Amino acid sequence: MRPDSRLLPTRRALPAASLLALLAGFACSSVDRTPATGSDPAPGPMAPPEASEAEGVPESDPSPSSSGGLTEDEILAIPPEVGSETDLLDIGAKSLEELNTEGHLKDVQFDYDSADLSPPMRATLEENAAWLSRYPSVRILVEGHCDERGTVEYNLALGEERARAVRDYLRDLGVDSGRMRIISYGKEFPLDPGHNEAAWRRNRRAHLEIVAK
Amino acid sequence: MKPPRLPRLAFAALGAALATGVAAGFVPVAGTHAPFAGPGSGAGEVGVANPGTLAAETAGQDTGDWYLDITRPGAPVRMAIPDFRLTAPEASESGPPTGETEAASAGPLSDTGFTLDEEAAESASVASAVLWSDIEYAGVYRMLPKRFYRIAEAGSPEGVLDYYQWESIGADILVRGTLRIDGEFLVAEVRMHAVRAQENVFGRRYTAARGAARTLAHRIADDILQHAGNYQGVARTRIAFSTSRSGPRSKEIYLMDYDGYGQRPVTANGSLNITPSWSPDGRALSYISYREGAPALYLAFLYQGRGEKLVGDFQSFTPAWSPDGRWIAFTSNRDGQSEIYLAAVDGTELRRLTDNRAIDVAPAWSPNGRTIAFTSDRTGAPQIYTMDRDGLNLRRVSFEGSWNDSPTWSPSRQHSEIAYASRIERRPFDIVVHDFETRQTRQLTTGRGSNESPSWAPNGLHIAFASNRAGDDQVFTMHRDGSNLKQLTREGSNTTPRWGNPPANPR
Repeated sequence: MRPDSRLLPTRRALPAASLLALLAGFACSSVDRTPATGSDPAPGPMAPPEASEAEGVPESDPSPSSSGGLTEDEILAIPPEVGSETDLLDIGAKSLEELNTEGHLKDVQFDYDSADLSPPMRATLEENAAWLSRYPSVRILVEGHCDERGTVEYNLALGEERARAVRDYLRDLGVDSGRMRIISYGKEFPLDPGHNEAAWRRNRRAHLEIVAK
Repeated sequence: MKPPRLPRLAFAALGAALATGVAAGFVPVAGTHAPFAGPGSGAGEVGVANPGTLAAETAGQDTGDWYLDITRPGAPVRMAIPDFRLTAPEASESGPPTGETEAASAGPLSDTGFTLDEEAAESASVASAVLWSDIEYAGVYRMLPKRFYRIAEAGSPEGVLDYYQWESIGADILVRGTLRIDGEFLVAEVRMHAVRAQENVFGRRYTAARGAARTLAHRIADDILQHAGNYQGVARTRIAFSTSRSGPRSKEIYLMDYDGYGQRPVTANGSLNITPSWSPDGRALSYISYREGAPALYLAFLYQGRGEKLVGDFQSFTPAWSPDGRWIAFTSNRDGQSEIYLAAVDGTELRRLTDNRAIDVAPAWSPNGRTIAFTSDRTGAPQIYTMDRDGLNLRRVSFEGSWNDSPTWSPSRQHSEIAYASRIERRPFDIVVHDFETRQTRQLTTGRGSNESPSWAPNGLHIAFASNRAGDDQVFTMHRDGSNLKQLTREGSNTTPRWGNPPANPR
């Protein structure tokens, strides 16, 4: 179900993102693994991140010294809100699956038969855009989903419209459209298998899946 | 039971399918079907041969509604169909072996340990049951219960037809058949009698591959219906659908006989494969697959074991094959939002039919191919519209309901109507039919679960649809008045049924 990553153009990191990274990394914590330098902080998928190298520690080094004295298990045990939102993640060290499981990008919910973005959802997308600007090498697939109450056929188009609305708003917020692809799953893959209002609300969503880092 | 033996023609098709099907990434119909084909699993639609009518007994077979003369006005026509009688195999022209000797020498060939007699009996049993249910399904005859037949048969010697005996139990039409195994083939002889007129109005010999008793019976049923009342049967039609049964987070395209028998995969790629649409010749499907990531439009040529991507690059949805076989109508976002396009089946042309900011989706062709029905939310909610095949002459069809989708145009010559799924307020969906002549809309299902994705049978007298009334989505069929409901699928979630024509013979 992954998109063909070859279709996603390879991009180098942007200096502007480094500034954002500096700001975002202002509130340091005990697990600050990211040096606040002006060097390129965004690792491409193939190259080890220069940020780690700047500190003289190879990104792939599993030794405790690479992460402020913490083992990898200890890092993973730290709740995301401690380390992930305030400091730049070493995304090169994480798998795509880990990044997606950690929930850095929030789903967006929609009203029944609607692809309109409500003010709270716009706020969510602004958070997502800020995160994406911190990691300019990250590429995402915007999945549009619908609840089970609509019809199969129309929901495919509705899911597409939802994904498009999210992509367009992120683009307006400065996320390069070349980093985003959209896909509709209609009502084929509900997040919540329930048959009630709460489940339907969760399933009327756009999900932002990280597909390259 | 022996594995099915296919005639030479079938072997050619099967061989080609097996040779190329696996590489093409989907499963050829005949190829997957044959290994578990018992006496019934329709070892290929090519299996039926019809070497000719029984010349002496075909008089009157084309006289159409002859039976009206012999029936009380207004009363249902009552049909008696006794089980097939087994007859001894005739000596083959090419060699001496009779059935008995072959059975004795055929030990190594009989994988399932059945003797030839047992296989013949099993085939007759299957053929009898299938013929009965095919005729009953049509809903135009009253089936006389089999328990009455002993009375009629008791009065006459074995093999002798006494019309008075059958008239005495109330039969208007009597269909009798014999079955035997002859070499590699099942051979059936069927005669239809007008009981009161004491006339043999139809007689025909059928030959099918051994193991293809169901296919044989389906063919006989369609002939009986054709000759008894000029009724276009659906016994040889198939229904394609999308199913979740093969694994989590995937759906595959399957197809099955119209009665739910022989459910078998068309795709097997572990991705999401949805919304199939039949070619008019019943030999190919178009569908949407996510196998390369984005949903793209694919064609599957079932008997060549060949598949190809017709339209990629952008998201494509809801294909619909034109009645002339030359075009696929579908939805794509290639120009920004969901619009309806036509693509030539050979991939040479692409035409855009709609142009607005709303969603346009789910095209469905009229039987003459000049008009396309589709769903659009251009007024704020999904409703059914029609347009000419060049995109002009837009008309709105549905005015009731807050959400109407999945139009399907009746292929019937007698009825000009469209079926679709309709939601009134926030209730679940029901299947409704809009009649263009009376401008009336009638509701076929009534609030039991959500009922979606209707698809007309090729004769315009039945509708397949998906319903979650029993839990997961399952495929059902019903008569066009909503009666005679039958559930065809039970495993996994099964959606978007599409009812196709019987497979045409290859040119």
